[in-house]
Amino acid sequence: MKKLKKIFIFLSITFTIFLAGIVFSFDISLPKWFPFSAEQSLDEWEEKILKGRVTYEVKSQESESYLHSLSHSAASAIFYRVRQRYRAQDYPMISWKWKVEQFPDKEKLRFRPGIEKDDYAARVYVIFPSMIFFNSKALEYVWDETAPLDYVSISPFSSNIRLIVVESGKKNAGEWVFEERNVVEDYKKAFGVAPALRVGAVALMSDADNTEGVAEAYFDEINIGYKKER
Amino acid sequence: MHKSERRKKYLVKKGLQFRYLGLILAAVILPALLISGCLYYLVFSLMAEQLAIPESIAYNLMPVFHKINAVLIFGMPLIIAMLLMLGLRISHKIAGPIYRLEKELDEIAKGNFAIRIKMRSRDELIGIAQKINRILDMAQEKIK
Repeated sequence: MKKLKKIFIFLSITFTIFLAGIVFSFDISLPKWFPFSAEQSLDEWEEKILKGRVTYEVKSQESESYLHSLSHSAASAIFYRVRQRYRAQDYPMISWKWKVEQFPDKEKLRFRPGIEKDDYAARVYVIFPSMIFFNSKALEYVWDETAPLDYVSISPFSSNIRLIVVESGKKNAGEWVFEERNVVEDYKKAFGVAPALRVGAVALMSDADNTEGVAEAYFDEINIGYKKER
Repeated sequence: MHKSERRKKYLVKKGLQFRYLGLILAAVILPALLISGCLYYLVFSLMAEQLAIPESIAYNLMPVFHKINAVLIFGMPLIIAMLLMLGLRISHKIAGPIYRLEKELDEIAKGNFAIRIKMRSRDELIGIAQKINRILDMAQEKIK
């Protein structure tokens, strides 16, 4: 009996050390910066196809490199899974640079339901996954041609997805625009409460599947999970 | 099964039958619920993780999720009712003979050795009943 007890204690300690090892081997490694400086930059990203395939390529021009997305009647995203989910309250900021070359033509879908008009030349997702999948939440930062700046809307797909217009109109089209957002503040504005779930992923998408047209954008210098120095 | 052997009453010894019924249902329903619940959670979680993009989850997975839930809501009471009926039959196969055995033994205890214990050919305690009947035959012969 005593021997059994000793074995049990030994196994418990070994198991605890093993678990602690696993937990501490994952460093938070925040902030995470994506300069898209080489073709391998996309190795960390997973492709998620919704309808057809959007081309996501790292391109460079002179000394600059960036991510280029081109959609021909397609919708697919690239998705970065955060290795260790983090509290947005601890690292609330996200920033990126983007440029839209071509917006999907939504004019022809003016009278169609929202779900059929859900095309954006560029959007950035911050995803808060939940253990119970239908409780997952997502914030989508979009560049919209018509909706006003900071306009918050509920996605036609799910009330757990909220869209925030962070760039409006075509006046900046064709130019690099820098965006910096406080995810916690935006989440509060969109959902009415502070995020209870941790940030688990970031995704980028250009889609033109509903409009069956073309959407073209560029992304660069995505920086997630940092605090704003005051 | 012979027509005369058909059961007319399925609840003959309520306490014992309900205990058996409880045991049968616990042995069948609890593991089934546990395994199916785990599978249900795992399948949907993995699919959601695989789809990853919220719109894709909402558009592709949620309708499937709702359909499966609807099937379960209508199907589960049916399955449970079927299990209850099956449990009742099984519990009766055990409780019925015990009830009869007790009743006939009470008669024998009163001195009525002419009585014989009757059981259905597929009842669980038929062997015991046949042995008691043989003892009764021998006892009656000795009395003569």
